[in-house]
Order: sequence, then C-alpha cells, then structure tokens
Amino acid sequence: MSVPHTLLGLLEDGPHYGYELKREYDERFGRGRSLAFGQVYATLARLLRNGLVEVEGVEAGAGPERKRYAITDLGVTDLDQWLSQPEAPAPHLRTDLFIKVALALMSGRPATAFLDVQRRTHLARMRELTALKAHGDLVTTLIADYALFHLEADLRWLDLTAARLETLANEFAR
Amino acid sequence: MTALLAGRELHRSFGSTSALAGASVEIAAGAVVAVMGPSGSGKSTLLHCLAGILLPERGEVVYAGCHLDQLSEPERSRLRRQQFGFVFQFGQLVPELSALENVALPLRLGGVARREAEQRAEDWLARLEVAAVGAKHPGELSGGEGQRVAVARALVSHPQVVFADEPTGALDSLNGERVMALLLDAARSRGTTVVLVTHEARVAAYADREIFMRDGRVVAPVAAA
Amino acid sequence: MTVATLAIGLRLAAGGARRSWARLALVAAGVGIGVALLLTGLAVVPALKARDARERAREPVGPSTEPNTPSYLLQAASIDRYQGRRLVRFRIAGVGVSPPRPPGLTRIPRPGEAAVSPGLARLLRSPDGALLRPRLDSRIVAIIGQAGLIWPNELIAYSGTPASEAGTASGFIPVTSFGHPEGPKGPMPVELKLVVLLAILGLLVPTLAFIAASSRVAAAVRERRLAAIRLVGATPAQTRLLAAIEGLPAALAGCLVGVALFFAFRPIAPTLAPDGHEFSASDLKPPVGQALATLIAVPLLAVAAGLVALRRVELSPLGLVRRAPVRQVGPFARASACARLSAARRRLASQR
Repeated sequence: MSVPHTLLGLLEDGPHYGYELKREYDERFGRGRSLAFGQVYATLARLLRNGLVEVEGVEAGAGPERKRYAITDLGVTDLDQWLSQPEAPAPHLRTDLFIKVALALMSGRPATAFLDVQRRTHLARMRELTALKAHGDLVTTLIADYALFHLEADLRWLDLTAARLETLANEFAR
Repeated sequence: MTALLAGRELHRSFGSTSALAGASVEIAAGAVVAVMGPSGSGKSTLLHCLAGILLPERGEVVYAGCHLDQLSEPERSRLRRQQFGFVFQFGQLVPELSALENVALPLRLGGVARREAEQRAEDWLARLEVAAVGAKHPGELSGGEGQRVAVARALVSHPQVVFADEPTGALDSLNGERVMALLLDAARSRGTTVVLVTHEARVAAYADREIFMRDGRVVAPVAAA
Repeated sequence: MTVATLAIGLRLAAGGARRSWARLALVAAGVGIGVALLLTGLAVVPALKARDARERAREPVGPSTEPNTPSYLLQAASIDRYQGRRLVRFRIAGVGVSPPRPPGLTRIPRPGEAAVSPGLARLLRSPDGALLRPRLDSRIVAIIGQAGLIWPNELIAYSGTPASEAGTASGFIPVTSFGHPEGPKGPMPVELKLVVLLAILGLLVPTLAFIAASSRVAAAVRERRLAAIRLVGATPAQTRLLAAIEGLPAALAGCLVGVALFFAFRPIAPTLAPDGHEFSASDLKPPVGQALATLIAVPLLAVAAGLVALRRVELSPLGLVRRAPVRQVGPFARASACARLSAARRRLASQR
C-alpha cells in the first residue's frame, strides 16, 4: 500500500493539516487499521524533502500538528505517473489464513471443520459488505466490491483446498 | 418458531446417481436462505423437492403444515401457480409470448381476466425497470432484461416463496447485481421467503443465512433462522 | 379457467416469431399433400365408374341376325392411330324412318357428312392435323356432344355412309339401341385399382414421414415451451389441452391446402392416365361423405397425435424427465393433505 502516493492524492484535492490527512486516510482506506501518526509525519517529511509537497502555512503555537501541507507541481506530476502505471499483480497472501491451513494439514488436525467455519466467517463479512452497498455512495460501493471480490477469491481457494483434502483423504482411505 | 417450509431426510436419485441422501432443511417465513455447495451436491434437486416440482423417494416436504409429497400433481401445480414463484438461470420464459404476456401467464392460468392480468404484469415490469420491453419477445431481450422479466413473473402472483436457481448465472456482474437487488428488495418489502441456490459467494451474500450441501446432504446445523 | 386456457392455447399457436409461422407452413404443407393424396385416392374409383358408364352408354345393342324392327342403324367401327393417339371412326347409315342415334348426335350424318368430337375438330384445324384431313373425306357438319364422349379429348368421328354400301360391305352391324343396361359389371381392371392404390400409398408414406419430421422440429421447442408453462403452475390437464389445441391450426390449414391442391391437380390428372384408360377431370369426384370424413378426421388425428405424444412423456416443469417411481398415496392421506393445504392457505391469506 503506497502511503506516500495516497497522501499526495488526498493533498491534490486541497491543502491539509497533518492530522486531517490521517483522519481522511483512516476513513477511506483504513478499514480497521488506522495509520500511525508517526508514519504520517515521517512520510510527509520525506515528501517535503523530495519537493513533492510544500508547507503552505504554519499555525502559531504547538509543533508539527499545525503545519499545513500543499502539493507542488512536481508532486502532481509524480502522482500522475504513479496513477498511470499498473500495479504488479502480486498474490497478496492473507498470510494468517494460509499459515493456519498449512499448519493444520501438517499436524494432521481435521482441517475440514476449520475450513467450514472460516467459510461462514467470510460469508458473514460479505453479507455486511453487500448490505453496505445498498445504502452507500459510489466510493463505498467500489471499496465494498473490491473487498467482496477478494473475499470471494479466498473462498474459492478454501473450497478448492477442501476438495483437495477430501480427495487426499479418500485416496488415503483406499 | 415453526418453519414455513421444511424438508426432512430427503432422498432422491436419478437412475444410479444419488442426488439427495438424507437432506434436511428448515426455512422460516420471510427468510432469505442461500443454498450453496459444489456442483453435484444436490442443491438444485433440493430446491426442486422443496418446490414440489420433484417428488422425493423418501422423506417429506412440509409447506405451511401441509405435506407436499402427498398432494396430487394438479394440486401441486396449483400451489406453484398461487404460492410459489420461480427464477431459474435461463429465465424459462415462453418464446411465443411477449414479455408482458409471459408475466401475466401465471395469473391467466389461474383464471384472471386478460386485461387485469396484463395490467398487473405492467405494474411489475415497471417496478423492475423493464417497462419498455413489454412488447418484445424473449428472444429479443438481453440477459439482464430477460432475468428481470422472469423476476416480475415470479412475483406477479404475490407468492409466499420465491425459488431462485442460479438467477444471475448467465449475467455479467453489474446486471447480476441489479437483478439480485431488485429481487430481494421486492421480496423483503413483502415478507416473501426466498430460497436461493447458488455456487457464487457474492450472490449468496445477499441472503440472511446460508446452508451448505455436500454429497446430497446439508452440512450445516438445521436451525430455523 | 378452461376458456382462459383455450385462449392461451390459441395465442400460443398463433403467436410469436417468424420461425413459428414457417414451422406452421411446413406442417400444413405436409398435411395438405397427405389430404390431397387421400382425396385423389378416394376419387379414383368414382372416376373409373363414371368413365365406364359412359363407355357402356355408347355400346351398340343389336340382334346378331337380321333385325325385325323397321328402323335401325348400321354401324362399322375402325380404330386407327394418328400421331400416337387413338382415333375411332364410325361409319353409319340409318335405315328406316327413325333409326337410333348414337349418343351425342342430334341427327345422323348423311353420306359425305361427318360429326366429329371437339378434340378431333381442334386437331383438324391445327397444323398437326394436316395429314389427317384428307383421310377424313367428309364435310364436318356437327360436333359430338359430351354425352357421346368417354373423355373430353377423345378423337372420334361418325361419318355418313350410303345405306346400300352399309348393307353389303363387311364390318357393319345392325344397332337397335345404344347403351347396355346395368348388366354384369364392366370389367374394372383389378390391376388398375391395385396400381393406383400402391401409388397413393407410396406417396403417402414419405408424406407422413415429412409431417413427422417437421413436427419433430417443432417438438423440442414445444417441449421447452410446455415445460415453462408447467413451471409457472399449469396443471397436467391444462397442459394437455394446450398441446391439443396447438396442433389444430396447422391441421386445419393443412386441410385447406389439401383441398386446394386437389382441385389444382384435378385438371392435369387425366394426362397421367395410361392409354386406353383416359377419363375426364370432372369425374374425379370423391364421394362427399368420404371426403368430409377425411377432412374431419385429419384435424382430429393431429390433435390425437399431440396428446399421444404427451402421454408417453412425463412432462415436468424441468422438461422431459425420466419416469421415476412415485409413491402411491392413499386416498385418505391425500384428502387430509388437501384439507390442510386449504386451511394453510386461508391462514396465510389472513396473515397478510
């Protein structure tokens, strides 16, 4: 997840304070995991160093929280370039899920029951997302769709794994 | 709470292939239930038995306290006409009739006068945003339009239960979403029960709960939602 | 509800895309050919009988020895061929005050005169008849009427001959009247009847196959249509009614086509007759009763065929379904199930 570019994108809309940037990021792209303040300011510092953002104004009083950041022309160009490049299709493994299944198999535990429970959990989450879409705006819908497709991909992998396990078990029984 | 529709220990085979091997399910009134499972798990057969289209070889199907498996074929036909609605993957519209006539068909078979039946059909086509295609024949409709006409036909007689078998199977994602949203919106606003067979998780996500089938049986616990 | 079902059935039969019209035309054509063949087959025997009657009407009747009536006709017949066609010449001479007249003649031609059939008259006028005219060295004074012809294009001539010549030359027989009474049946050639019958059957079989094939083309579509209607809740009885009505328009159209084909074929039928067995087109008249029976039977058969086809197949809402063993339900269980169903329905209705 490219945090610097995301912040640049948010800044393209207009100048923001540091804490405003964090809040917007969390709302739109956080989904459970909020961005740490430290990371926000470290990123802004780097962007500043590279000339992609500039400080527009400073409010008197306390420290970093009060700086207003604005995007520069260089920043806009950089953002343009990043937006026009495709993402490398990386198989982002949900590491925990994969590890659990792998471990269960290796230890000889009954993985089918676990897979069933996992499937239900996924579906419950998918139900929530689908309900969200019914009342949400376009951006919410897009984000929900994205999550839904990925959850579905997980489920398909789960189904295939369950099927493989069953075939293995049948072969073993023979 | 007693279930509106229940199947108990259903068994059904086709020749030497066993489709249902003791499947049981209970569906409460107004619930939207997704039936999931791999192909060959018996989902469609379960749906057909619950709807009275197929008779199980063993086991019973109870709808509103009545044993479907003990009714005669004309009685089950009447039940289908008055209490059930169907949306299958390929719509199953009659090609020789226009879309409007297709939607009006269940009413006309039940003896409703032609004008009234077609008026009600028009209302439903409008609700499903396909009023413009009323005069066209099924062969002239796009996939999404055809399925929406099928949904209108399923709902026109104000059924108690709608049975949907892969309703969006032949549609692209956007059209599929529209069909599901319209179907469930109409169903939920009237308290209609929906039994939805699908192998797609994103379609099942429209339901309140899901049951899984494997090898002709229902895997999950059978409690009514 | 039955009226509504009938209305739906007619709508289905009439309805829809261009393709269903093409199918209807196909089946109607097949049925039409079959009907035309049947009507023709039924008309053959009457045609032969009519021809026979006219032939007999022309038969001269007379004593084998010297006649004892004051008036009689002397007639000699000779059969020639001209350009492949049969040409019959009768030389006649009247004896006495009122000799019998051959059928079709208003008076007996005098020596040097001749009465010819319309076909012969045409031939003599045409360039083809150039070689024939000198052979017929008489003046044409009359055209033989229909009553004297076995079939319209027959080539016959009655030439007047002096009575003296008739009395002495060979070949002349005395005639006291024309027309055999309805005596022993003129030999109806059995072979002819058989040939006609076989020809009709031979054409009927591929016609039936054609009808069956074009019906089968419609069958798959029809099966899906009936399945869709069953799904929506039509009872088996309603479905059978729909299936029965569906076949009707094609069958009725086919009957009309068949009658039209028959009347179109009639004028050219005589040209197909073998030499010596010619007949008149207007003779091809199937007995009215049999014709009506055919025209009623064909649509009924179409309806019956549709119903029989359904009977073999258990038409479920899912299309053709293999017949699976169905549990037998006792009448008591069924009655109680129905009672509970109507009670449940009422309950649900009141809940809304």
